[in-house]
Amino acid sequence: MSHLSTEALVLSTLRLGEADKLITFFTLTRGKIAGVAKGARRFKNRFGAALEPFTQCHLVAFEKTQNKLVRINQVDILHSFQKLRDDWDTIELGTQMARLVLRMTPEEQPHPAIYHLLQEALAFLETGLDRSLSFILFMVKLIEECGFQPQWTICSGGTGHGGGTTFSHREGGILCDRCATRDAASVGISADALQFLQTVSAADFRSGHSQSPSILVKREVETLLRDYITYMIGSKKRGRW
Amino acid sequence: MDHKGVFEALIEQLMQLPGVGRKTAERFAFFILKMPSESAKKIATAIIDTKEKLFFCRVCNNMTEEETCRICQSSARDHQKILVVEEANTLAAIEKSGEYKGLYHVLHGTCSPLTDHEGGNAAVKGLIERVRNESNPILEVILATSPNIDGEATALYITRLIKPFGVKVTRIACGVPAGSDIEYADEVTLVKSLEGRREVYS
Repeated sequence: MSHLSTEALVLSTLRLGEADKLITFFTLTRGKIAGVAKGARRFKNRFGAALEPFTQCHLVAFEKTQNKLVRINQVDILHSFQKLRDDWDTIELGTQMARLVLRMTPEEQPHPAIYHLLQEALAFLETGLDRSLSFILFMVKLIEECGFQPQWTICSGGTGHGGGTTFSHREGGILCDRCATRDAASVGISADALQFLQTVSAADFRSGHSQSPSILVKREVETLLRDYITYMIGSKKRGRW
Repeated sequence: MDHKGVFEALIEQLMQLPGVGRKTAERFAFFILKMPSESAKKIATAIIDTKEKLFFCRVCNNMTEEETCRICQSSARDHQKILVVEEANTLAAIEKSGEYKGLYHVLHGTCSPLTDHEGGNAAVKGLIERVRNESNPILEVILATSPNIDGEATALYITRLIKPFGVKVTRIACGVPAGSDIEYADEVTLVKSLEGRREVYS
């Protein structure tokens, strides 16, 4: 039995047995791990609110060699992100961010960049400046970190032409007019949306917030990214994870 | 079906119960095998009766043997207050306290983005109907969902739907549990308890 002590973000909680909880964390040093918190649903439990989704905490757990699930021993809150839970819209966006990390990352593979991205995105949601923009930027950066970075500048059909009017989920990028016929399922993309995606792809998550796209562009980009992620992770529910 | 088949079938059925794995199911099955026939028949009858004679109240979704439960039928209760709970066992716990004299509404689940609005959604429609019903005006809806993210999301969702009807919506207090030491409370619980503080009267 080995000892695990790391910073973590709570991605999801599930009721287990009579009074326990099954928690999935995204940890700084071990990536995505799941563990059992014994008695976490009892009224007077030692974990308190530390195991609520979105909580940034310091996790102490024990690992068994035969079991993938760790035994959660102690959890101390570093930042609760409590303000996120006071509003339905932020709960929904925060849940989608956590679910994306849950679905797009493999188990036990450390990825500090994704940890910091999720932490920063939850902080931006909490301040509530432009939440829909924060969510779009989170999707753009998470796709990049997970290795599914689409080609936004030149045709992904292999011609090397710049610009494009359609986006192909299969080819993973924009297609020029000549290549657009190669994928019947490719979808149209406006020049404004493409310009926005090119700009934010080159910027980091924080500086991406200096952009102020129109509502129409945000809607178009969000739908496009949701569909692309749905395609990449093989989800049956369009735009839901 | 031979003896092993009957016994195996019992184990498989017992394994359907939550938190019961094969080992526990086997232990239960051996216990049933050894118990007097009368006791075993009582267990079987109780299970069948529960399924055949118990329904959900058409008004509040509480468990009942009639069309409406005894709480909804009682004239001694305050019919202008509705307390919303996630499960019927929460209702039983509140009834045990003896403090609340109003009516209930059981959601049988939550309406949260984390659970894809499953479970409690149909029951919320029933709650809205009760609030809209002008023949029995409701003055207050008390939200007693759990103080976790699912419960909070459900409370926010219901508040959003009920507020337009001009009904007072309240949330049960959240804070340090009675009989515990404050030094062991986490920061979220402490913040909640400070937010919900009340004036002390001498």
